Amino acid sequence: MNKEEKETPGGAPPAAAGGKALQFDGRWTELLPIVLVNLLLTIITIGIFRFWARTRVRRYLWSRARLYGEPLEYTGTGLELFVGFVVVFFVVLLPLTLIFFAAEMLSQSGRDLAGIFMLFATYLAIFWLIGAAVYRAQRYRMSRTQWRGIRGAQLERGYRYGAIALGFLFLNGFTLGLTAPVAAQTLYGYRMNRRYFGSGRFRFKAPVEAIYPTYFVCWILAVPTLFISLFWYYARYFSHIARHTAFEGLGFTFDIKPGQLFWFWFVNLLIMVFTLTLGSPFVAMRKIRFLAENLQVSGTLDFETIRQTDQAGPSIGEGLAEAFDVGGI
Amino acid sequence: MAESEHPAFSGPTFSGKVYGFDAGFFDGQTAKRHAVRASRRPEGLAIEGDGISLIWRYPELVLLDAARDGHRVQICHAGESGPRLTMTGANVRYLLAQAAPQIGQAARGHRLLRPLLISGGLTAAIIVFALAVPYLSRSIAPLVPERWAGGLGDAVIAMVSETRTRCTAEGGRAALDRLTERLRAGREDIPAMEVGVIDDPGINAFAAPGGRIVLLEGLIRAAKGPDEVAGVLAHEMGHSMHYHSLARLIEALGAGIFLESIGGDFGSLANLALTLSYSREDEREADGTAVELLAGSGISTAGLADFFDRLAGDSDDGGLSVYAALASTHPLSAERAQFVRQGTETGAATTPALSDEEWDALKAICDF
Repeated sequence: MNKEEKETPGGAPPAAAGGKALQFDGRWTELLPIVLVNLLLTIITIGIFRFWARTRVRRYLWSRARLYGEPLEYTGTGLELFVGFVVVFFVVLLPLTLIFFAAEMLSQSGRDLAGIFMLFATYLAIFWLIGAAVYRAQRYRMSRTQWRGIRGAQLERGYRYGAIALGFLFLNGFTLGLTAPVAAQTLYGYRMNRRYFGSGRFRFKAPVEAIYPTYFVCWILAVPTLFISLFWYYARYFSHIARHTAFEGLGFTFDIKPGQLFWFWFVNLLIMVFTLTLGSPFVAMRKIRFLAENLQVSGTLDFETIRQTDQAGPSIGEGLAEAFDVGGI
Repeated sequence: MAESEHPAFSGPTFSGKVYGFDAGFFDGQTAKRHAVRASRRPEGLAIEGDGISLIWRYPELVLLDAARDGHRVQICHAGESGPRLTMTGANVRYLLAQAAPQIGQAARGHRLLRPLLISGGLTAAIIVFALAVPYLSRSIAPLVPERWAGGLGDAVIAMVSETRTRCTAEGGRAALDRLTERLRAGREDIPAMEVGVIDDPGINAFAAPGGRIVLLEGLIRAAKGPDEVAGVLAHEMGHSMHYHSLARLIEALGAGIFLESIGGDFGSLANLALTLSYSREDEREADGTAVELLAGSGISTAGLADFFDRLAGDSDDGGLSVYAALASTHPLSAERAQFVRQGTETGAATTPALSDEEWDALKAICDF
């Protein structure tokens, strides 16, 4: 297995070979001062600084991740996130609040049916927007991630994705979760097949049958094992989607053990609970490290063929994700 | 890897030698890494090799990242978004900083001044907006069509009263209407009011949008005479006249949500503090109107003052302070009671708010 590519005085080889391509050397001792300063400034600005706080954390985490020896760079700004959120406030949050209020008034004044219908329609809209928010947050982050002078991109604005996610939400509900692997894989594929790095394109195509035997057993055992059985499934699922994802000439494997996934998840949970979610940047760091430690890349990539993308990306930040708190990192 | 020295050159802006470093250059067009030599020249940083030949002037260099040991820096040019240069070599950061001092300072994205100025400015602007909110909502509230305000008021009352019955015993109803008319008499500026009583033991009263006023039966029972009920009613009419409840609703739906969402958890606390301060202002204004209405209709303000005193627990008979309900929405103070008490000049002609029969009927408004 080929370890990190050494930079030679004569220049790096034109193509990257596989192996452990992603490395992460972030340290909690470096992240802690960033998080503490963020907390202080967020308090004294009655919360406004949090958009810049998030940006500072991302810049640090990105800069400590190296792909084939070259660091990632986060080019987003706090102001973009702030403006994105203000737009979402006026376009989405304020109207939603007024609709909720109107629905309440309707049912209080005896028109219960109209009120219930209005509430139902509003909840539909909210779940649709949550799906769109997830997509748009990824789209923004891709467009603000730069590596070797090239930036990422994710096509579409996410509203269609939100509608598909909403459809699967109902389907999963009606089938008591039996369709969950189809839903998860379809949505993952939808995002991946629209994701680019420069002119390089990610692709995902996988037979869903491959994952079903595992899922079916875990699904039956879910209630008796208090859902612990699902870690077995998720370990297999991550490996499954990684194996069927490709980027130009590169293939991926992400083979983890269920126990490993469980402890990773459990420690993340403990951090969130004991820091009242203030420790979320540390959880984000653990996620990137977990990915870096377990991701294997095979194949070769000719960097010269990866051209800059012509996708400018969104001009403002992921306001929807902030509004519905589905931003992730 | 080590820097090479060219003693033949010397720069005008720094008394250094020309240093050259091995570097990787990305041109922002493709992901190909160009193996180049980056040399510190008097006119700027020269990037040469592998088909690349350009000069980045020192003031335009931007530090993106630096290795902890200072032997590797990643820089870009202020005017271009794509191209990146990664230089490696002993003390490369230190040597580059001699020519371009900003390279020795914090990397882009680690600097705090700009984010602080922007977020601080926004915080100040939002605080100014929040302080202006009561004035804005008060100017908007009177513009809300009466039909909408009435509908809102009915819905609010329905929410507050839940399943409790509205008291409509005939004699009591008549007494209440007479009292309302007496307080309104001669005041054309007071819009129509709908006053009702709800069968609830709590000692409280509300003014909802659209001139809707609700007294809880517990308040009438706790009152020692009609003047006390008249005082509370006049106070609620004051709230109604100044559109306080409509203005609060507008604040909560508009500005309150804005503050809470823009500021996250910390914004909610700020919003709560503001709301409490508006509410004290409202109470003072309603007290002022109550005193005017009572004086105008020849009812003594002592009733309202006594009632406040008893609620605050200041009076000799133990007070009613156990009933925290009214106190929580109507912050009480000795100052307020005193202000109200002074509302009736000594020697002014006052008559009881209701006759004894009417007062008995009002007390029985929920008995049917």
